Amino acid sequence: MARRMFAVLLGLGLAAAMATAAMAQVTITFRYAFPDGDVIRDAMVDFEKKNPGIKVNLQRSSFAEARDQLVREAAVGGGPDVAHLAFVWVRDLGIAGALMPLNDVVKSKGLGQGWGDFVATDLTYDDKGNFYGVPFATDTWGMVYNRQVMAAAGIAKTPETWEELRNASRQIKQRTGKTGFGFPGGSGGNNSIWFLCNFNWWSDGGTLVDQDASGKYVVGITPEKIAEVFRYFDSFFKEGHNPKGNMAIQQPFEPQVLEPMARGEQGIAIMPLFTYITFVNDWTKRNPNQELPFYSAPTPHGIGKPTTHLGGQSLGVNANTKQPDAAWKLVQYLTSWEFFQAYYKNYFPAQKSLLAKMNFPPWLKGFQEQFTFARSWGPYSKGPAVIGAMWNQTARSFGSAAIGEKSFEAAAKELHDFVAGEVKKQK
Amino acid sequence: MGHRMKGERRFVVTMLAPIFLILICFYLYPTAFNFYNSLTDLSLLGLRRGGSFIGLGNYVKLLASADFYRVLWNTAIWLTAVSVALRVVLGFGVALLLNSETVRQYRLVTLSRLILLVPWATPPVVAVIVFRWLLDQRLGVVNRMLMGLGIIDLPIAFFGDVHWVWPSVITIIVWNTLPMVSLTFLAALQSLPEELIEAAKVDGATGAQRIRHIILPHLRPTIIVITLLSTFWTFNNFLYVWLTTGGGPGSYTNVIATDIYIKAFIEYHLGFSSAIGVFAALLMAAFALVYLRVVARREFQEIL
Amino acid sequence: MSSSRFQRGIGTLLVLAALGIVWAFMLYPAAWIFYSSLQTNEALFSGTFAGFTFANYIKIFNSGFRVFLFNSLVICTAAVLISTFVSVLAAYVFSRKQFRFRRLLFSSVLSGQLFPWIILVTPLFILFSRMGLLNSYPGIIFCYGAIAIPFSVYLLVGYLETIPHSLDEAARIDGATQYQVIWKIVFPIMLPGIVATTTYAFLLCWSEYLLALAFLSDEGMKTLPLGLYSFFGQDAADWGAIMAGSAVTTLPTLVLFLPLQRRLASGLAAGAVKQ
Repeated sequence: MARRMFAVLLGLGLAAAMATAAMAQVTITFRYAFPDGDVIRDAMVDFEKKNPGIKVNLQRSSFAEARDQLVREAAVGGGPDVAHLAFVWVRDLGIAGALMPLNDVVKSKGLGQGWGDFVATDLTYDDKGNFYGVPFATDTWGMVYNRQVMAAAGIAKTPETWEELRNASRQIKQRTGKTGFGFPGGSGGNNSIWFLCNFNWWSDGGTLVDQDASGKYVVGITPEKIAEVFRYFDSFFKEGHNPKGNMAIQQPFEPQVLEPMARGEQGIAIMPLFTYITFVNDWTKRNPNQELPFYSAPTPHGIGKPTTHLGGQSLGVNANTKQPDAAWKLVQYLTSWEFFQAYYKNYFPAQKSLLAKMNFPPWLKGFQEQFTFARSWGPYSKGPAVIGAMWNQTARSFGSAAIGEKSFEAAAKELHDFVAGEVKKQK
Repeated sequence: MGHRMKGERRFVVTMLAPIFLILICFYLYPTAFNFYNSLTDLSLLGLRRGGSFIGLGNYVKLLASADFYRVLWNTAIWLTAVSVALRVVLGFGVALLLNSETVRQYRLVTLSRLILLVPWATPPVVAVIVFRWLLDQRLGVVNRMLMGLGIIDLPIAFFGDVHWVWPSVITIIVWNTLPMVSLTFLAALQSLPEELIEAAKVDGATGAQRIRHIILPHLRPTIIVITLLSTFWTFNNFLYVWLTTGGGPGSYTNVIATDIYIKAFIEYHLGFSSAIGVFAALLMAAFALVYLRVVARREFQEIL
Repeated sequence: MSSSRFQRGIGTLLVLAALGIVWAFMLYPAAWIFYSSLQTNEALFSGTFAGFTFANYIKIFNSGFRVFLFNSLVICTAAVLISTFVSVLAAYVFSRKQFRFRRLLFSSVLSGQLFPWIILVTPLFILFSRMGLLNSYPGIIFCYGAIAIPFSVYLLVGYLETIPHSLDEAARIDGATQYQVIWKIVFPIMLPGIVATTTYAFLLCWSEYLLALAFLSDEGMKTLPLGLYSFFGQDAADWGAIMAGSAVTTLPTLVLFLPLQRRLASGLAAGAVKQ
């Protein structure tokens, strides 16, 4: 009797073991590069439930180092199966052999509402027509105004041109003594001057890197125009309505620039979407039962339209992945409406159909409008010029002119020649 | 006799083998890698396929660029010379203070040593975050204090104003590294026999004379070693400048290590940045040679 | 006579005031971090006081700081033990023995200090990855040991120079072998110097970031500095977590050195104090 029981149990045990083995537990690594990894962790639990047999090993990394780490790993064939990247890294990493081309898998397995629904896909292609990343979340920059400070300074209309912006900033300082447009003017690898200058150039019809009719990459702006814009932004510092201390701040989320805005000591700021959302959330927690004094608006324009860049993050699949199927399932999950609705609430999906579904609260209307004007980096990323290098050089040239080391003309020429050198390179 | 010699040599080799094995693995390969790359135009994205040989092209470009001399000046004078000098002088002062009769009388030496440990244990990134906030133009406590005391009318942009940026960066470095220097000097001071000081006092020597003729000579070897080590570490330092100003405003505070970072990881010119690294190493080697021959001749006669 | 007492009184006051200033300067920034770590994210930079909270600490420990702390402890302790052991052996030989190439070899040990570390990272990464030593304790421990060796040897040689050679010779005459001389005679006297060297080495490894970043991408392997940097994002930074992380990164070294600091003090007298 006991022996028969034992045999049955053994048989059951073996069957169970075989069944589990047949499920073929697969593990993939997903490297996420932002600090809010907790929401991703919860999402991964959900993903694993919906995809039994796939286990996700969530790695975290600091955003600043993520690209360099992937480059190093590409050189030796390592790295995570799915990586969280910036829009503008995809092409370089693809060409460097770190990412898998996705043309086939998108065609055969499908993705969202189709490839055409994704924004900024032009940044993911190499010269041969292969693309290497899936746009994941998108953002852009917009202006943020403090209604109360503007009213106290007697400014009735939201500035629409760059000149109006400067006048408003001046007026805030003169009439209320507070900071006007307090933007970060510092140099460094992640500076804001790059964005500000490009927004200005683009909204006036120029651009740093362009493609001419024959497809060759050229500099699309004159040194005079560069100098003019440098002078424009410097005037905020020289005239005193942007405090000199902001020459040492690079990024718009630093407390040194955000805190005065939160305390009502500054009237105008510029920041990325995610920064603004975090800012408003924090302010609301700090000031319960008070009306939100902030509203957003598109960036100013010149002769053209208000133009900002379409920024964001992408997902890439490692060229050396051993689990391409499981990796793709994860990518499909992360680009689904359900994921953004349930977990990734503070971000905007990089798909037009999903963006249309999004609900923008009143204080975000400015960004909603800005999205309609945002343009892809285009030639900046597709051409041979290294964006990071131009990004860095722009702030350096601006900075050295702002502190008086060079004339604005010399600084502008320096940047112009630098970009000219970059676009001539072979990629 | 011969047998002993062979035993000696075997002993020496056995004792030195582990250290040189580790050092060769760790330093020789990267050095060779960098030296080789400095002669190519290797790009960061081209690690797999390698770069093409261009001989001394990188070095020529380096020595011909005006920017590089400013970087050198920043590194050698501002970053290294000034901060090391301040560290040594202030460290000496603090050590004297801690070793003074009064402090010992009130039994505050141990407590002081513990307090000094705190900045030493703080990682550089944390030190930078704190000081950037404390020295902020609009919201920092230092500006508020200075204005409250009436010393200044308008707040100072410590990191945005070119007149103040180096002193501010140096302040962070000194805060973080003074304890090590100070505690080293303190320990050396405590090893000074009391009788010597007493005898000098009996002879009527003033405090200053005691310092000059007894304390300083006793501390000389320690000062020399600390200065050399501090110079090496500070010259090649990256974090303090990068996290504070990013090398800015403009390129005002760019130093060698930040320049290497920019050239390698932002502009992707791995070959060129290797050339800068090799050049920096040669400079430090030259400095060490001169320093040890001239300044530390007596102390290191035996070994060098 | 009362005037000299008065002078002494003023002197005492000045000294104590100077001491107070030094204390304030050294402590204030660190105190600020600790204070900020107990604030909520929203109130952190606001200058207003909104009550204390441990939320940041809870958050970072749920994000893996427990593991990071453990890793840092294991890696740094092992690296320092190895480097100190190896350095003691080498320092003894450099200090006590005459041999060919001694000058050259001693200088070459120090040559490791000449480089900006940043240029060592890429080649080491490639090498270690080929050897399969990434994301493993042995790989990073080896690197940290190698970083600590050059100045450890330097400091230990300096300290050894203060111990008279006659001690060794007396022991040799009594029939001790080379190894017995080292471990039974010299090592005990050298202990304070070793403690000092170990301290320096430990602090160096503890806050090391560049190599850890390249070598340790697995969450389970990361060290404290990596954990700290991961709170800096692209468009936002989790300042509360950063402050708590900073406190957690700073405190263990303090706790470790509290009991050691007396030995540390007498050991630091070295450098190269010649007899």
